[in-house]
Amino acid sequence: MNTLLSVNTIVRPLLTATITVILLVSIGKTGTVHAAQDEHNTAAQLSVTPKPCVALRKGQTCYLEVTFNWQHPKVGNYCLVNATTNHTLQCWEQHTKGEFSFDFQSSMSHDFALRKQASTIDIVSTTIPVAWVYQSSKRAKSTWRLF
Amino acid sequence: MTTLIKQHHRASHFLLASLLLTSVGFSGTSIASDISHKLRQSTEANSATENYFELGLGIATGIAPNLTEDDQAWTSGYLVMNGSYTWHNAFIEMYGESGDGLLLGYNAYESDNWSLDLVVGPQFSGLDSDEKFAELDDRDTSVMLGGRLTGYVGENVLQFTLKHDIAGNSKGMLATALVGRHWQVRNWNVHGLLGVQYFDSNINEYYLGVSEAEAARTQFTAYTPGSNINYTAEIGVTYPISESWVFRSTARFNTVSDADMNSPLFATTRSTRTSLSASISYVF
Repeated sequence: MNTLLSVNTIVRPLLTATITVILLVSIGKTGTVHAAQDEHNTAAQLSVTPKPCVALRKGQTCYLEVTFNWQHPKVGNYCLVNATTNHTLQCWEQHTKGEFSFDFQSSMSHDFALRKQASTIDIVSTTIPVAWVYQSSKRAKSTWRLF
Repeated sequence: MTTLIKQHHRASHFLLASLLLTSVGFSGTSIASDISHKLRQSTEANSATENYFELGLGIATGIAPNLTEDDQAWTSGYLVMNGSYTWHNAFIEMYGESGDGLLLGYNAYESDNWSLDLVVGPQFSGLDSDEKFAELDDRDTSVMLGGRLTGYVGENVLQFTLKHDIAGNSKGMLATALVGRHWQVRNWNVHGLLGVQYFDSNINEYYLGVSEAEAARTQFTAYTPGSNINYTAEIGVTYPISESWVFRSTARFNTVSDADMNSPLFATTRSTRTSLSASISYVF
């Protein structure tokens, strides 16, 4: 009985310590994984040139030949997505970087993002802003004012 | 017009020729009034450009009848001053490359596709300081008051103007009919414009005529012109270089009537006038 008690006294703290260590290690490992992903995402880059797209008047379609460049520290399957329309422009498999040119045509600014294939989470994003020189406004429809 | 023309005035006597060809000769820039402003900015039906002001520089070259020089070819720089400010239905606008220059107006009627403005503003400069005209009576600026009807019919913009001098100088009447349309070719805005312009005999007589009294004291023969009609065609491009800079270029062709060319005030005459201009402006 005494022997059993003494074993319990010794084993329980050991078990508790072991479980604690395992939990701490596992938590530590998870933290490391998340930190690494954040690090990767932070290191990921997406740029577009030239910008902005300038139209003469607000509301006009603006045209601009643009080139996207992206890079990611980790090899993977990535897609360049128009985040405003949720339209995928191009995907790359097992790449760490890529380039894509296209003819931007829009009357409003659009956001673009690099995403993992089949993911909806933006790793990194950029914008093609649409600007204009002249603001125009609709005149109020009305009738004769003087006569 | 006034801005462009005043610059011509200041530049040199040679430029006076250009001035008078566009102000006294009437067709030229004056036919391309602010319908071209609407066309250049690709303004949609029933919409207006919000308040703005811009300054710029341009260069123009052309061939035209000349009041003071034998050479009909001319080249000159000019200052671009464009702007508009609207308060309720009243507005002030200045479009230097148009025929109206500074204009005060009131939008009296507006529907989906038609707009009627009452407008008043100075128009037509007189003979300037060239010695050749020193003994002539002054030709002062007219203050033209009238209506400007603008319509959007399909892809076309129509504009009709009827104005009368209320300053008592020329006491003349001016009527114009213009049709234009614009296209967008990527970020280039292209416009085309065709027009006809009528000047009554009072305007022609005041600016291009020579009275018996003037003829008696100068080398000019007396001349009493009648009314005249001029035709014009214009094509231009406008390109937004950035949010603040705009490039414009315009080619214009005008007929010049006999009522103008028979005036003894002209040194050389021709039946057409052609010009090409380019400018860059900063939009505030």
